[in-house]
Formats: sequence, C-alpha cells, structure tokens
Amino acid sequence: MPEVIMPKMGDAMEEGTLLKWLKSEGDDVSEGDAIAEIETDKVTLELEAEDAGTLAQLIASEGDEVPVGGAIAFIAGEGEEVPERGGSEAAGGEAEAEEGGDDGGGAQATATETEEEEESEGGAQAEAPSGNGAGGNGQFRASPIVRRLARENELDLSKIDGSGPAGRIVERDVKAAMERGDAKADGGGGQADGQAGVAAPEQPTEGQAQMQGFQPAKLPEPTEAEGTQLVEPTRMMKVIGERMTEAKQHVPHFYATVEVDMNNAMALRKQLNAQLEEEGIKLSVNDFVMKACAVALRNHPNLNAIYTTKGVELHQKVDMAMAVALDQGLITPVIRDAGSKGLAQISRESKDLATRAREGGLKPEEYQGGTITVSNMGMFGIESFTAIINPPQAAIIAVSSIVKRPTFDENGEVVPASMMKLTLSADHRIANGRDGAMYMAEVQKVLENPVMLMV
Amino acid sequence: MAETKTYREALREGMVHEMEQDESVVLMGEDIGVYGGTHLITDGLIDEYGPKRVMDTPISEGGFTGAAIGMAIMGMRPVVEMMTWNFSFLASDQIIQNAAKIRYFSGGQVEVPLVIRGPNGGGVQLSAQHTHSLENLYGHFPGLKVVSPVTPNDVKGMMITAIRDPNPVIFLEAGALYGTKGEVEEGDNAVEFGKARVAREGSDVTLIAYGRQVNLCMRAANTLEEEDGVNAEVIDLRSIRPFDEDTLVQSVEKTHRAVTVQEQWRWFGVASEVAAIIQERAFDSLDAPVQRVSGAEVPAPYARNLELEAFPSEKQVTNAARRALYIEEK
Repeated sequence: MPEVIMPKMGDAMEEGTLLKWLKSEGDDVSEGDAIAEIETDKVTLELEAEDAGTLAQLIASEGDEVPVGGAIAFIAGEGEEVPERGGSEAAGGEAEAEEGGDDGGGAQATATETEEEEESEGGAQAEAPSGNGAGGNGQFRASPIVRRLARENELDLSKIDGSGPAGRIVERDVKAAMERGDAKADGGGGQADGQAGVAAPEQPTEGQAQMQGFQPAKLPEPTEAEGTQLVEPTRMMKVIGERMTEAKQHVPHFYATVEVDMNNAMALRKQLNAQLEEEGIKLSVNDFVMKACAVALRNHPNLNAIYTTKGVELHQKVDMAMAVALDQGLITPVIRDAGSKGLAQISRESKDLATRAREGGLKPEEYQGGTITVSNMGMFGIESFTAIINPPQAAIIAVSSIVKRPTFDENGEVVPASMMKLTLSADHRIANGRDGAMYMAEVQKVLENPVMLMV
Repeated sequence: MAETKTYREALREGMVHEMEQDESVVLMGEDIGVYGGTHLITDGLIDEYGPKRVMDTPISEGGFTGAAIGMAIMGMRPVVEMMTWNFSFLASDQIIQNAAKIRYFSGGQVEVPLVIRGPNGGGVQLSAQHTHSLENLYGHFPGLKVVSPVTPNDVKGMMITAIRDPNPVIFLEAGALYGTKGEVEEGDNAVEFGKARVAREGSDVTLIAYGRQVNLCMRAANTLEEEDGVNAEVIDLRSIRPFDEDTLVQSVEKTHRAVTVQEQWRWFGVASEVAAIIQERAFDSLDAPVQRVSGAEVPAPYARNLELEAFPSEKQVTNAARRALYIEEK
C-alpha cells in the first residue's frame, strides 16, 4: 500500500511541517488530489496524492514536523489494509535516500509531479541507493565504530560513501576517507551543492559547534515580563538565521562601495519606458542595476563563482539571484543567464519571480543555483548598507536609494545629480580587494554610460 | 616442564593429582572402577586407590548424585562421572535444587565441594538422545560453576581447580577430543576459573568459542589468514560461569568485529550471551553486528553426513567472519 511521505523540496530540506489536512481519514482520493498543506523552509504547498485509493490512515497531525521521507499517511487500494508501522518508517526514509551532496536538480521529489516513482510497499526499500547510507532525513547508516571515529576525528559522514549493506558506512570506508583526507567536517565552505537561496547549511557536529563558537555563548531565558511577547521564529527565519550565521562566521567578507551618477540611466529608463508602455513593460531601476552587474561580470569572472570542495568554480553564465523580501522572511529567486538577456526580459522575469515568491509559489529550481546575488533596498530610502554573502556564491551587491544632491561637473560647476550607492560584499577566499574595486568601477561605468547595457 | 599427553590422560592426571594430596577426594560413577570407565578416563585407578575411593555405582544418576551431594556436605570431595552429560537429566533435580542452592539456603554455613564431570556435546555419532551441549542449561543457575576446557593442559588444570573449589562444578569435557594430544604442564598447573584464554592473537576479527569449537575456530582462523589475509583472534572462553567479560571486551575493542560459535542450538545459547555482552560493553567499537554460528535446529542426527551438517562447520565460521568484515563469502 502506498505510503504518502514528506517530499524533499530542496537539497537542504530535512523536514517539513504538516500545516493542514485537506482530506479526512477514510476519504477516497484520486491521483493528483490535494490531500494536505505542507510548509517547508521555503514555501507552502499542497501535497498531492500519487495514488488513488482510500486515505486509510493519517499518520501525521496538523502542526507536526515530519522528516523528509517520513510517512504522513497511507493510501489503501481496494481490499488493502494499513500495514503495521515500524519497519516501514525507516524504509520510507530509505527509499528517499540519495547521495549527499547531490546537486539541486535531481533531489527534488516534488509534491506536484505525479509521475514520481511509485513506492511499492516494502519492496521498494530493499533496493538500497548507491552512495552513502544517507536517508533523506540527514541520517546515515554507519557502524558504531564509524560514528565514534567520526566524532573523534571530526569527520562529516555525508562525505563518505558506505560500502556495507544498504550503504552502511563501515570502518574501512572511514579509514580510506581519513587517508584521503577529504571527509573532514567543515563549517560549510566546502559545501558544493551549487545551491543558492536560503538553504540550510549542513549541521555542524556538537563538538565542532563548540570549537568554532557556532552556538551563542549562552542564551538568556525569556523574561516573561509584562509588555513582552514570545515569538517562535518561523522555519524560514530559522534557516535564514543558520545560513547567515554560517556565512558571516566562515566566509571572510570584504566590502567595496561606489557611488553611481544615475542621471543618464534614469534618462534612458524614462525614454525606454515611454516606448515600451504599449507593451505593458515598465523597467525598474533594479532591472538596470542587475543588467549592469551582469554585464560587468564578463571581465571579472572570479566574482561569478562558487566556492566548492575542490576549488573555486568560475561560471561563464551569470545566474543572478535577487533578494525578495517576504512577510515571513526572504527568498532569492534566480534570473538565469542574466548577462545575455535584454532589459525587458529581465524586467518581466524579475516581476514574475517576485510576485510568485510572495505568493509562495516558487519551485525549488527557481530559487536554487544562483551564482551572484543582488539585494536592493533602494525603495526604502536607504543611503547605504552591506549585505551578507549567500554561500557558496562569491559576492553580493547591496543596492541603495537614489538620492538627488548637488555634485561638481568636470568644470567644477555645481550640478544636481541622482546618486546611488552600490556596495559589494565579496568572499576574500575567492577574490581580493583589487578585483572587487575594479569590478565595482566597471559596474559604475556601465550604469553611468548606459548605452554599454546594449552590448 | 611440559609433556605431550592426551586429553584423557591429562584429565586423569588432574584427578590423581588431587587424590594424592587429599584423601577426601573420591571418584564415583557407572563402571568407573572395575571396568575402567566407559571412556577409560579412570582406567587403572581402582587398582591404585581401591574401591573406597573409586566407587562403582548403580545405574541411578539421581541416586548417586544425591549421595555425592550428601558426602560433599559432610566434608568429602566427590568427583562424579556422568557417563555422558545426557544422563544428568535424571540427576538435574539433585544438581539444580540441592547442589546449587544448599550454600545459599544455609547462609553460607554449608558448602558443597562437588565435581560432576563427563563428556558433553556430540560429534561421535551418538544420535539425538546422547548428544546435547548443556553449558547454557547449567550455566543458567546461580550456585553452579560451569567449565568447558578444550586443551589437555586446561582439562588437567581446571580439574585441579574444580576439585579444590568449595562449590559444585559442572565439568563439561569435550567428549570427542579424549584422544587429542597436547602439552601438559607437570605437577600443579591449576587454571583459575573465570579467565578466558587467548588461543590465537589477531587484529581483524575475534572468534569466540569454548570446548571443541575452539579447535574449529583455530582452523577457520588459519583459513581466513591464507585465503583472505585476515588476522583473526581466537578466544577460548573455557569458563562459562564465572565468565570472563574483560578479555572478550578488550579483544573486540581491538578487532571491532566478533563471531561467536557454539555447538549447541542457537536459541538462548552461550553465543547469544556473548553477543549481548559485547554490544553492552563494546558497542562503540563494533563495525558490524556480532555474528553467531550455532548448531542446526534439529535433534542431533545419527547419520555421519547429517551430523556434520548439523554442527558448525569451518565454512560457516569463515563466512560469518567475512560477513563481519564486509568481504565476500566463499
């Protein structure tokens, strides 16, 4: 009998919250029927039945946090009964198991895709996945001595392939990995899953966390005084918090700010928007900034890069992530190959992505895999700010407000100008100050001579 | 000084050693005197020590075992022969209800310095009613000591210790091995109970057995070395109760893998106890589940080919070790 499991909606997803049942126990369901609402760290979505039958048992309750691969419900075919629980739970996770460090693409068992492989009862679990013994819930099959060695030597078991039954990591696998020296647990710089967005970092081990000061020294108990209110962070905020802590602690940031005269860009924008009005297109300042940042990267490939286990991976194509503020947090959908797209195309895509991000309707592949990020707070009247790098990317650009103020022209005359500050945050392991400064100077040049955007 | 002797000779020597030292040591059993013993363990002793110290008994295990318990209570040190341990079922009420409990009942005032000895286990086509391995049965009861030596030197040294022990000792001999030879120390070579013997040092996997399965494990260890380059350690428990947990645990802490072998049936056997102790005390050292090799779940067959199938084989042991090592079985 098919088990309905918590789908894996992204590489970093370890569990999801069952928000609401849309069907009741005993209801008949058809393939594709929405049966529950699931909240992940990124989105809220409807979980669809992958099989037709009777919703024989609701295992999870509303509000439950269920590990990826964990059973949520059973759908019984005709004449089937609910199997005994127990073995099947582990099995569910096992069927979902995949190689750790897989890239975003293959990992997503989407809730909406009904052509996902059907899980036959019991049998499906006998097929052990290749690679390590990772269950979808971040658990690993490993012998006791392996767990001890991992603790003592600070190894990350997700980096070790198990050669034992069902992918169990056994002593010889660890010994070999220790000899190769590639299983050391690290804070995350080595995470090379090509995944952007606010995905959770790999959990550090407890020992590691202590050693690296990962945990705040000691958190105070709530005062519970009058006039206070205790708010539990949303799942998304927890993930953002973890990921940003990770980035700030382990990625050595440096910053470079330029001030751009936007007079020409604003004039061009006005001109273009007048002509594009009929097509219903209205270019924003941010579209110009994103395009300029993408164009300027052509000559500065080391800022369009991913920090991987094996080295810095330079990307030719600019997959530009843009930070979109949500009520409950923040998400960074990606405009693919922004460098070769025109302003109108960038504008259309960014509006669409932002709208759907706010509605919670992004697919994982739409917010994973960026190579650089732009964060714009210009609409809030911000004079300048710095942003935290979105690992494993090399850089993020903080876009502030356009401010009208007097400037000096070439003749020393005072003239009004629309000035905007752009601040680069870059990973010093990947680029040096000169690289950052030259890149920002080029962004500035492009925006001040916006005809450059056309080439 | 050590001399090569058979298991049978060494066993007799152990008893004689104590009979020489202590007049209260007497032997009892069916046909042990005039006939010299069914297995010739006591051959010639009646001539040496006379019928008062080497007593032929009626075919009445419950009766003469009960008598021996009474003699032990009164200060004698009887060594009772069970012609085979299978016959001890008739005496088990005396052994379990009286011998094992009198010291406890009397608050330690009354001791029962009794040895019951005889061949245990199978391997010589004696069929179902005459083939049992009773170490787990007697090892179950507090108040009894249970030993199962496999080398001639140990059978002598443990017999000396058994006779000197103030408590009832179940002395399980490897019946199939009476004719095997080994070096035996001269004189008093008393072997302390509760101390396992490392029969072969190794680093990759620990094979644990007692009685004649130790020899099987030694052969398996050699095969593993030749065929797989695996260096197996072999531990001879030799004392079932008291039990030497430390030697076991230290070995598994070194090798990270264990195979535990017994001739008796799998369920509720000594091997299960060994596996339980290892997971309790050496869990963090284990690289694989502890493997058990046991007899087949049938009454012992008579036919030689079936009997061989029913007892642990070298192949079963080597393959269990290979499973623990995650290498291919052969």
